Amino acid sequence: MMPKKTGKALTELRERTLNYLEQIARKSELQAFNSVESLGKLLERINELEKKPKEKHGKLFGLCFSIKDVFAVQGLPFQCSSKSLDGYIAPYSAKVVEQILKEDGIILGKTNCDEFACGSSGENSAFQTSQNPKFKGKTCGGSSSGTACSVSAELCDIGLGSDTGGSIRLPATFCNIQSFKPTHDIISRHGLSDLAMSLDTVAWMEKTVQYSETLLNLFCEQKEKLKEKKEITQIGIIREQMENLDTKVEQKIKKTIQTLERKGLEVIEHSMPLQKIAVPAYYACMYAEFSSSMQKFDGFKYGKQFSGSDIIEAVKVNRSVLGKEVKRRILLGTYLTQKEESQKFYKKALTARARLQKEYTQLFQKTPILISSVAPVPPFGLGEKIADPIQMYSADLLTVQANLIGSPAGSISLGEGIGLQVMGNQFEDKTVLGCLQKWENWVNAP
Amino acid sequence: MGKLGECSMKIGLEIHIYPRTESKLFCACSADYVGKKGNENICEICTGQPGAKPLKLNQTVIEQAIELSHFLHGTIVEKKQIKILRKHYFYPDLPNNFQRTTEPLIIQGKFRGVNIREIHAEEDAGDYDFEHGTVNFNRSGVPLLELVTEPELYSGPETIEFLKEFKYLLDYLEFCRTGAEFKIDVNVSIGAERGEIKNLNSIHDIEIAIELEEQRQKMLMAQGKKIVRKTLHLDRKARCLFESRDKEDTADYRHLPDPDIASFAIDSKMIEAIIQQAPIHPLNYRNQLIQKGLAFSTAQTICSKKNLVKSFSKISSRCDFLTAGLFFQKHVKHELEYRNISQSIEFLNEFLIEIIQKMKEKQIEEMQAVEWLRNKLDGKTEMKISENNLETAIKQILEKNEQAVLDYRNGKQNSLNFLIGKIKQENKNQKVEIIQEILLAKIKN
Repeated sequence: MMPKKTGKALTELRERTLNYLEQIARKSELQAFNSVESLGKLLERINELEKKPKEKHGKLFGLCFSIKDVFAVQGLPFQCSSKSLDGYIAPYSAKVVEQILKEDGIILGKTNCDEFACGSSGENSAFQTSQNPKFKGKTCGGSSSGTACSVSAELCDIGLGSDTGGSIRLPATFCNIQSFKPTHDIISRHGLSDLAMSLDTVAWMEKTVQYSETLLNLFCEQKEKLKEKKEITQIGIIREQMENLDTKVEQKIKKTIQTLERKGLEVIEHSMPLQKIAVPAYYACMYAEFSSSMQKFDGFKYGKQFSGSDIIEAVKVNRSVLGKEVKRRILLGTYLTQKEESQKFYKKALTARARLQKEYTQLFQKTPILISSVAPVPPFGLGEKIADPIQMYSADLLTVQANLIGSPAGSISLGEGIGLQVMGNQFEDKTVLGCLQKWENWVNAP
Repeated sequence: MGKLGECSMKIGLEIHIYPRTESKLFCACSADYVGKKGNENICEICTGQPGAKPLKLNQTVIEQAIELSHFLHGTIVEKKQIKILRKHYFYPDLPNNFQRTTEPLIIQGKFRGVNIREIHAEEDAGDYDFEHGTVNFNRSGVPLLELVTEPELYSGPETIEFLKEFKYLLDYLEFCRTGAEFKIDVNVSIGAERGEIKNLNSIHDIEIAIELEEQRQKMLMAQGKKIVRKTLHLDRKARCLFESRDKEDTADYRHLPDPDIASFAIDSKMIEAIIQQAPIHPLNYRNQLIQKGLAFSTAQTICSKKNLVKSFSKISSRCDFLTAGLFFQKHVKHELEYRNISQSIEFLNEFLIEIIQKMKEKQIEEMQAVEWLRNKLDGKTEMKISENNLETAIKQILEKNEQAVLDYRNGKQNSLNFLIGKIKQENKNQKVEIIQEILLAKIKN
């Protein structure tokens, strides 16, 4: 129930925030949110902000955030879209959440995602499946499905999510919005539930690239490492990344490249046969780390208590509520890191990762910005790929590289659920953001 | 292998030491968990809440490992990238179900002829109350240093002696947390395979555990049975060993470098700075003192405290060595302990030299010296009865007792004793010999 309008005019802040809340309720069939902040708490927050004199307004004053359910927000359910965390209320807030609140941002609620961020379509959520607000019957992409949905359907200003192998860029693309994933670990991950720690990055989405620079400056803990923004005259593409694209995607990307060339940018084609090891290396590293970080979910500590006759039994009961994909990753990760097997697979994956890093560093010396499609395919239908993990994994074909090498990458929507990925070398976040800002108007001009 | 009774026993130790630090290893909670209410000394990090990330490794622990290494003649691993590993196993007291441990910090040490394989730092687990099924996480994340010896101890008594000396060293360094010193896993084998008795926290328990394990293995051999690798626990009350429920023997800990914490460096600068400040080696110094003529017990007492050693090493060459030794053993240590003084006592050096010399020269008695020491420590004005004062005091008494003086001069020996008694009554701390000396000199005039 919305509060009745009185004769007194609502402040803009109040009107905007309550409008979002109303829209969230109206569009509940999109299944974007796992939990929404209570009206009472939101009104309290609005009152508090309204009292502030203008000169004391924080940098995010009145901006409304949706937060992916993998972040801790003190007092709100923290479930990672998993039944194993049913009833768990976060006892603390993630570092980035604290910063948002400190700068007078407003948190509307927690958005749906694949369980523990394991997935590329949002269909692995144990609670609900977020619907693509732009393309009926299609997935939002994953794992930050609800977050993309909430931004695209105008249920908030900014969606905060996490990107481990494309979890921000893919759903943003499928939902026709913009996204940015900074350099790995320049932003604190404290309070972000682990998928794979060496790949996980705090990231966000918005309708147009408006607040990304503010957020980067606010969240970044290693400002001294960030390089100054460069003027770009040359951009690179990797031949192997242009192969195996869906026809529609290929056409759009080629058209975009022409647009950029027309604007005076020189496009240079590189070759990197090593591309084919990116996805296997990514999955091996991610499985290994994920299996380690999932150890803690033994059913004793968070939310609902799972019991059994002994420890092993209790852990078994707790783990039986985990979804198929999560179980698959834990099992494979445990297998990969066993003493006898780790040399065969995991160590190899680490070597592959190091090689990839080296080759990318060399490429960035030639052209500081690389572009590609975000996904090899346009948005696929709900239920279309969920049965086949290999097909699902291939949605990450072009996004995992940025995580493996820890570099910044963003996406610009080209419409029709297709997106342009822009990637730079580590700590070139400002240059990448600069490109996103400048190009978002160019590429979508009729 | 020889027959029963001929086989030799080999014992190896894994000693977990609680070093003195302010905070836990990876979070800002206090490391002083002893005596606190259940789960009041915790945060999201040391209880493993989803998403919580460790802070940087507590550097003090590394510095302490380096200091300890200095006394164990260890090789410090000087590396740019020492990793922090996750050791995975399930147990309710382990919030993440993995334990963070560093790669070895120290290798190839030696203590009392026993080789030390390595020392590394790790986080402690919480406290699991099996009966009630509850866990107290106050201790979770408290730093530990684990020291692993080669199996080079060959009997129970030798092991106990080794541990007593090791504890003596730790106490001297004031290395351990008050109320929590160490817990030890003991590996015993009389043949091919070993039994490991876990979590022993007193030397007495270790003594019992070794004895029981030796008996158990000998029994198996006598019965012609094969000894298999086992993890055991000591039941103190029943005085027996029981097998642990968990299958630790076959565990694969799936060690994985922790992606949440950057590796850290130990460099020569850091090592030098620590070693430069390290105190004198107490065991070496103890030997020196014994060679110079102190009794073992005297040397042992002096070398039990850093401040005693430091002061003694400075003053003992400047006053009578044996008197100084005895005075330190009998009084200095006690008076300092009584006042809880563990910091440097260098400010006492000159004073100690003076009173020790006076004692040696029989100018004052031991009790006088002790009283002066007490006054000095308590900040009272020193009741310094100099010889001059004593002389004045004697003179006054002689004036009051002229008859006795005359009697003595007339050959009455008892009068001398009467006078000494009078003087002693008013100058209780003075030595009779000194009083008599001064008295005689005066009377004879």
